[in-house]
Amino acid sequence: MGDQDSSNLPVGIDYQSRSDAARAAVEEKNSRANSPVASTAGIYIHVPFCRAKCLYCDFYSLAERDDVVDRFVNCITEEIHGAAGQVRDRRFDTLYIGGGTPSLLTPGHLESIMNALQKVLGLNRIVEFTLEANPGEAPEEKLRAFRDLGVNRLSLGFQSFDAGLLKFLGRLHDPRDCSRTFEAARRAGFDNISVDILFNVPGQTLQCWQSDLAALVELGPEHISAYSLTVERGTPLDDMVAAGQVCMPAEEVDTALYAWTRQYLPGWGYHAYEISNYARNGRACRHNLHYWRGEPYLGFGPAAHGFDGTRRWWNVRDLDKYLKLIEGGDSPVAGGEELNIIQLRNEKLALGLRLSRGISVTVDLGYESVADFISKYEGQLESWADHLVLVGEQLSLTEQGTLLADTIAADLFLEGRKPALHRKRRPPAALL
Amino acid sequence: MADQLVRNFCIIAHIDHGKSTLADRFLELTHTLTTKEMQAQVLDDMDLERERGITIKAHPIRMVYRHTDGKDYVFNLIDTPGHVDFTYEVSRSLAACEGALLLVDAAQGVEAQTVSNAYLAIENDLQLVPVINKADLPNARVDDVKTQIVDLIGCEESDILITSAKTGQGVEAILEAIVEHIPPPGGDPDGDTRALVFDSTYDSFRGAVAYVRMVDGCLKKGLTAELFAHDRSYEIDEVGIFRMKRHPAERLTAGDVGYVIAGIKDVAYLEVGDTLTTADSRATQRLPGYKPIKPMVFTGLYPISSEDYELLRSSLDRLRLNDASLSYVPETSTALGFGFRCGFLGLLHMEIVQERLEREFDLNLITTPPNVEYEVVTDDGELIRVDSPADMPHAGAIRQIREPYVAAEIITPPDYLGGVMKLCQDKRGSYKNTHYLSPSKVQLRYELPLAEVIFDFFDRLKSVSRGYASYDYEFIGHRPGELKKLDILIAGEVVDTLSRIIHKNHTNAQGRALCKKLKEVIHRQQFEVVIQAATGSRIIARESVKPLRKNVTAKCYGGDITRKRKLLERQRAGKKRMKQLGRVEIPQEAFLSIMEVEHGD
Ligand SMILES: Nc1nc2c(ncn2[C@@H]2O[C@H](COP(=O)(O)OP(=O)(O)OP(=O)(O)O)[C@@H](O)[C@H]2O)c(=O)[nH]1
Ligand code: SF4
Ligand SMILES: [Mg+2]
Repeated sequence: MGDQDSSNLPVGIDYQSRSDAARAAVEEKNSRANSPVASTAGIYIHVPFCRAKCLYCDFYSLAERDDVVDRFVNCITEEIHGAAGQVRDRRFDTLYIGGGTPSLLTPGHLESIMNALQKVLGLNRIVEFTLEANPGEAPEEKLRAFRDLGVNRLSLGFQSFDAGLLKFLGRLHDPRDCSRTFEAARRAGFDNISVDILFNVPGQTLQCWQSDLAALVELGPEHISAYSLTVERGTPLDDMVAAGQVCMPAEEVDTALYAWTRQYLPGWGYHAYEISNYARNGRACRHNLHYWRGEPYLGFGPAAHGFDGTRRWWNVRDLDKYLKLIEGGDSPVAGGEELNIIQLRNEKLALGLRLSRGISVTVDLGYESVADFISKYEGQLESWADHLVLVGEQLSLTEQGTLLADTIAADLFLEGRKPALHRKRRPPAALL
Repeated sequence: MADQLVRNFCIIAHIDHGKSTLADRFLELTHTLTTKEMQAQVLDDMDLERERGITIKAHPIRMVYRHTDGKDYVFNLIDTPGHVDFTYEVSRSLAACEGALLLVDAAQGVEAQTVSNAYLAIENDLQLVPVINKADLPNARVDDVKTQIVDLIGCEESDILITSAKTGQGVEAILEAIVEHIPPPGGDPDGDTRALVFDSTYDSFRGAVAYVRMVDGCLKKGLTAELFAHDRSYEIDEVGIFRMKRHPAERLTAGDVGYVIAGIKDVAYLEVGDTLTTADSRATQRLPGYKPIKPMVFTGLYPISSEDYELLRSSLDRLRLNDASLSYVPETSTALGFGFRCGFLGLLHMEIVQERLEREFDLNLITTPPNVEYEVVTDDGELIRVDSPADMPHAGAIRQIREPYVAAEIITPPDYLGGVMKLCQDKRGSYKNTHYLSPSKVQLRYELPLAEVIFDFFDRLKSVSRGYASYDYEFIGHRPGELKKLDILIAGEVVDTLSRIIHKNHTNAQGRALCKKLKEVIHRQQFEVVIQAATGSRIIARESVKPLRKNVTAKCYGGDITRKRKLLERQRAGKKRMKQLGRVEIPQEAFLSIMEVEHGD
C-alpha cells in the first residue's frame, strides 16, 4: 500500500516506549512511501476546564479547577516547546482549541499558547483556527479579543433550544443565551460559526427536534454538528440509565430524528459531509477532516492524542499528573501504538466511510484497481448493495448505509493476524 | 507352550475407583519408571486425561516383577477407562489378557460399571482378582463391599484383597496374587503366527502402528506381515513392547503384548480386531476378533471453515485408528456444508472426539445437536434407518417411528430408591425388577428409551441420589414411540441441523424453548429475522429478532480513533465465528446452546 502520507511528516513528541530500532524502521518505511504530496496536518490543544460537568459528557474535563488554569497554560507552552526539534516539517494548516470549555481561558492565556506555537511549529500556514465556546460563557468583548488574536472559527455548544432538555442535560445556559452568544460572535466579527446540537435526548420529540433545527437554520451558522446523544460508559447519564431512572428514546425515534436532520439541513444549504456534520459551501471543518482522512495531527494537553501517519500516542488523562510531569521536566505521554499496515488501512476505511465523499479504493485503500477491490469484496458489496456505492474508485455509504456505518466498516475490515480461535496445540502426544 | 513367566492382565472398575493410581504403585514397586518419570496417574498421558482426571484410552505397559519364588515375571498390564462411554476400550483390552483385577472403591462399593465390566471379563473367560481399594478412607465399608462383591461374582470373601493405592498398603500382595491366580498365556510359539490387533495409533512419520496380542508364533523385523481383512502385505519395520513410550524389541512371541510397525500408510487397511499373520508362517484360521460396537448417539461434525473438510476427513481416519468406537460417514447440510455424521458411544465420547480432533489435528469444528438412531416404517412399508433428523421423511410419509430402547441397570443406596424410580418413570421407563446386592446397595432394572437416557439422565440421577447412584445400559432394540419431528425455521427456511425428533409430549415446550434460545443468540441483522418451530406444517412457536436499524458512532475525532478501531476489530473477529444460514448469520454458540435446551428441559 503506497497510500501512507507519511513522508515528511511532522514527527510528534518524544514517545519514550519506542526503541530507536523501531523508530528507524518506521522512518525507513516512511522514506520509502512514495506519496507524491505530503498531507497537511492539524494542531489540537485540549483545555480541560468546564464550569460544571454535563450529564452525558465523557470528554476529559473538570469543573472547579480554576486554581490551576495559569499553571496549565504554562505547561501547555512547555509541552509545545518540548516538541521543538522533533518536528521536521511545518505544514500545519489548522489549529483547534477544544475541551472542555476553552472560552474560559483569557485572551492572555491564548496569546501565550499561540506564541509558543508560533515559535515552535509556525502558524503562518494556518487557515482555520477554531475555538470552542459555550453560550452564556463568552461575552462579546472576549470573543472580539479572541478574534483579534487570529481565531477565525467559533464552535458553540448549543446542544438544544429547549429549556427543559438543557436542564436535563446539565447545561448551564438557557435557550436565550444561545442566540445572544451567537449574535455577539457575529458582532465580534466571526463569519465562520459552527453550532453543536443534540438529538436522541430523553423526552425529545420529533416536533421538538424539528423546531430546534428550524431555529438553528434561522440563526444561520456556517456549520452544524448534530449528534445523536450516546450513553457513554462511566457518565452520570450511564448510571441513571442503568438504574432505570432515565430511559433513552427508542431506536425508531433516534433514527427518525436522524433521518429528518439528513434531509432537512441539506434543504437549507448545509451539505451532510460527514455522519454528524453539515456545512455550507466551503465551510466543512478542515481540522476534523484531518482526522477523517487519516492525516497527521499533534495534540497538546491532558488526554490529547497525536498521530504522525503511522503511530498514535496519547497524553495522561489526568490534569494533575499532566501538570506534575511537565513541571518535573518529563513527557506527559502515557501510551501509544504503532499501527501496522492493516490497522492503518482499517482506520482509513472506518473514518473515510463517515464522509459523504467516501474513500478511494485505490489511493486510500491501496488496491491496484477498482476491479481488484471488487473481486476481493464481491460478497460484501452484494450483501450491502443498498448501503454501499462504488462510483468510479470512490466507495461511500448510501443514506441508509450511514445508519450502519460501524457494522459495515467492521465487515470490510481486514484481519491483521489469524484470530485467536486456535488454542496453541501441543504435538499429538496422545498418539504416542 | 508360551512363556510360563508372563502374565497379561488389565485393571477394570467403575470410574474413579483408583485403577490408574493402583497402576502407579505397580510401576513403582517394579521399578519400571524412574522417580523422575513418575507422577500421579502416570499412564493418563493424554492432555485431556490429565485435564479431566479420567482415563480415556486403555494404556498398555510392561513391567518385570521379581516374585517371592525368586523368578522374574513379565507383566503386561493394561489400565482401562471406567466411564461407560469408553467400554469398548475395556472389552478390546480384555481380549489381550488372561486375567483382570476387579477394583472396587471401599467407600462407594459396587457400582454400575463394576457390574458391567465384571460381566465383560467373565464373558471373555478371564480370571478375576477382586480387590477393594481406598481402604484408607475413613468412610471405607470393607465388609459391606465384600458382601457386594461376593454377590456379584460368586467368589469367597477370603479371595478378596484389600488395598490402598494411595498409601501403598496391600499392593505387594496384589502382585503376588497376579502370579498365583492369573494363568500364563497359552498359545504356541512355534505355531502359525497369529496376533490379535487390539488397538492402534497413527505415527506421522511411520504410519499406522498396530497394538497386538501375540497368540501363536512370532513377529520380528524383516518378516512380511499380512492382515486377514485386506489382501495386503507389509514388511515389518519394527516390533516392540510398551514402556511409557514404544520400546523396540528383537521379537514378539506367543503370549506377548506389543506393537508392530509395518509401513502401513493407508490407515484404512488396519482394523482393530483383525488378525495379523506372516507370509512365511501363514495362519489359516482368523482369531475371533471383536463384535462391532454400536454407536448410541449421532451428531454432525462440520469444519468451521469449509477448506478444512479434507483435513477433517484424514483426521477422522487417523483418530479412528486410536478410537475404534468412532464411526462416521460423509453428510451434507444446507446450513453447514460438507461434514460427517458421526456415531459415538455417548456425549462424553462425542466431546472427547471433538476435543481430540481440535487439539491433535488443529481443526475448528461445529457439532450439531446429538440424536439417537430411529427406525422409520414408511407408508409403503419400507423400513429405513434415520440417524439424522434432517433425513426424516415428511410426516405424511411415515407409518411408524421406532426409537432405540435400552435395558438400564441402576445401582443405588436404598434411601434414594423412590427418587430414582420417579426419575425413570418421568423418562418413560418401564420397571423390570429390583435386586439387593447388600443391605446398602440395590440394583434396579428398567427399560428406557435411549434418547431419554443419553441426555440429562446422568445429571438427574446424580442429583436425586446425592451422587450415590450409578447406571449402565445396553441396547435392546427399537420400539414404536409417539415421536415427532420438530423443525426450526429461520427466516422461513428449515435449518436442517437444528431439526430433532422428540416425544410428542415435549414438542411444544421444546419448540418454544428453542425459539427463545435462538432469539437470544441471533444478533440483529439488516432485516427482521423470524424464528419458528414447526411439527409437520404446524407452526408451534414463533419469535422474531428485530432488524438492526442503527450502529454508528456519533462522534469520532482524534482521541476516539484508536478505541473505535479496536471496537470494530472485535466486531470483525466476532463475525468470523458466524455461520451463514441463507441470509442470516448465526453465531457458532447458537448451535451449542441448542444442546443446553435439550439437556435442561
Ligand atoms: N483415598 C484414596 N484415594 C484414592 C485411592 N486410589 C485412588 N484414589 C483417588 O481416586 C481418584 C481417582 O483415581 P484414578 O486412579 O484416576 O481412578 P481411575 O479408576 O483410574 O479412574 P478412571 O480411569 O477415570 O475410571 C483420584 O483422586 C485418586 O487420587 C486410594 O487408595 N485412597
Ligand atoms: S461543556 Fe462540553 S466538555 Fe464541558 S462538561 Fe459539558 S459537554 Fe463536557
Ligand atoms: Mg484411570
